[in-house]
Amino acid sequence: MILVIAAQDDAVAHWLTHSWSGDDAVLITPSSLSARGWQFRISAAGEQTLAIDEQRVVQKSAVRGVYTRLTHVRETDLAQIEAADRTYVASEMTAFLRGWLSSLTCNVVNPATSGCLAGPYWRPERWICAAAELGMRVRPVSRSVPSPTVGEANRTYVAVTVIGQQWFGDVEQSVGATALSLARQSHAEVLQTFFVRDESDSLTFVGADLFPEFTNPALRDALRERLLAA
Amino acid sequence: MILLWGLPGDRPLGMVAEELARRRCAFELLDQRKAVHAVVDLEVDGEVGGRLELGDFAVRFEDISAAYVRPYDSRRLPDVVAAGDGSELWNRAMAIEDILSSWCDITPALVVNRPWDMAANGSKPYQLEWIASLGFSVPATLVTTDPEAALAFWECHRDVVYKSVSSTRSVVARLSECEKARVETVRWCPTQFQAYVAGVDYRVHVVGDAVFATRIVSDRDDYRYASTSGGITRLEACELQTEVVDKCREVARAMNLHLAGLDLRQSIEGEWFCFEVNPSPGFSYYEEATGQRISQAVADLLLQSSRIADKGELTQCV
Repeated sequence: MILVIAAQDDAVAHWLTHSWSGDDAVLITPSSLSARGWQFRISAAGEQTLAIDEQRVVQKSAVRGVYTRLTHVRETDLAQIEAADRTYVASEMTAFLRGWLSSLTCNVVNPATSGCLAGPYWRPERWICAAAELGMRVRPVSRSVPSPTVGEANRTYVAVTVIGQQWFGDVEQSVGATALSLARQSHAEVLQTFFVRDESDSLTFVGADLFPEFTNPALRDALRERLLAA
Repeated sequence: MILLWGLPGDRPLGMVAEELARRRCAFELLDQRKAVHAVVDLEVDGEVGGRLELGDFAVRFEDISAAYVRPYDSRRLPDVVAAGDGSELWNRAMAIEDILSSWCDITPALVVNRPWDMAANGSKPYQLEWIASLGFSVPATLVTTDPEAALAFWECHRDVVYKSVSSTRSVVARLSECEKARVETVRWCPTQFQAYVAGVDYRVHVVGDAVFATRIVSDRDDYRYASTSGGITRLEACELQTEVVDKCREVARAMNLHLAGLDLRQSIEGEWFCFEVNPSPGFSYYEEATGQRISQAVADLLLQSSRIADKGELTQCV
């Protein structure tokens, strides 16, 4: 079984789940956490189960891979909860998922971190620091308050997507390899990195994102392979 | 230069400020309420630079060698609440908090503690598994949406407490017979139950390599709220076995916390349990009750990483 954990309105998550239906892929949304049947034990004997919905409760051991596209549970994801309780419940569900995801021994992509359910959800400045540490050419980033009103000129970005140990993108081997290094350094299994090409045709790193668009079916297949890997 | 960021009325922050002032060390206390009017630039190109200006106070980020940060949620600052969600002041406060938090996470300066590292405390089960992997015992725990499982867990352990899963502060309470009917509500949201461990509570503060242990004697399940329910709590400075002290240091180090407050309990059988590691502990409560010099240790830590001499200029609070 593959679990895709995402918000109800995440079209990519629905598409991936549908694509992997042959692998018994199911979508887990925040509303799934209001279904009877979750049992998560620490230092305690007993069943470890999860509830797909009110009709289907499965053993945690049946899960082979988990792909998380949810940074945290939002109040707006909780239509089933009374409005006055949504802030608290969103915080509790996020905390629950963080602990539960970290307890899994199967493939979890991306592994939950202290600050995010879906991996290293870093601010732009931290990605630039990490890339610079790896010796990548980086475009400086700055933020100000009050913020300047000048907008950035439209740029065309070159994307390199890392899935597990593979990278995808129309770039030289060396650039793909540095994207892979950045993913390893940040402990991300899925990472989309962005570059701009300057006048000398060199690529400069500008940022990274944990949630690729999956426009290329090869990405989807690579992710499936990663989730089902022994 | 040392930066303190938070509310001047916050006792832990205030005690560290007093200690730094007593030693005539150069530091700045950035009052979070006024900071919403600051000018902040953060520039990162591999090196971390920029500036922070507020009134007469101006500092380059690269000149800050250590920081002690205890900001509150900016959305709850009185002026921000009054201005309302989405107002200009609200947006400004959020942007400044985010930029300063980003700086805290990436600066080479010593930060007590970095926001990213503190976030582990946002999930008790996440932290509990981490604590267990570092060698402390943890109580048998069930987080569930299954009322029958909750009741079975209660039946099995007889004495059970429930508490929030997140860092949202909640009173730890024992499950009682009259609450049995309410167990049905767990199906709406995963709820955490823990086997009650009878024993003596300890709060251990780790500050760098320094360790301060406090024994807590209380007649309530949650000693923090004893006085509000007519109970009594007594705090006593104490020494712990070397093995336990070392383990506390190891936990703080593994979590990358320069300052940590560990909630321990020694069971009647002598086993050491760790319930939680607080990455921004309100140590003033313990220091004021026991005389332990925790704020001095925090000041020492900040100064060790500071390039300033002990006879630097005296601070101005802004």
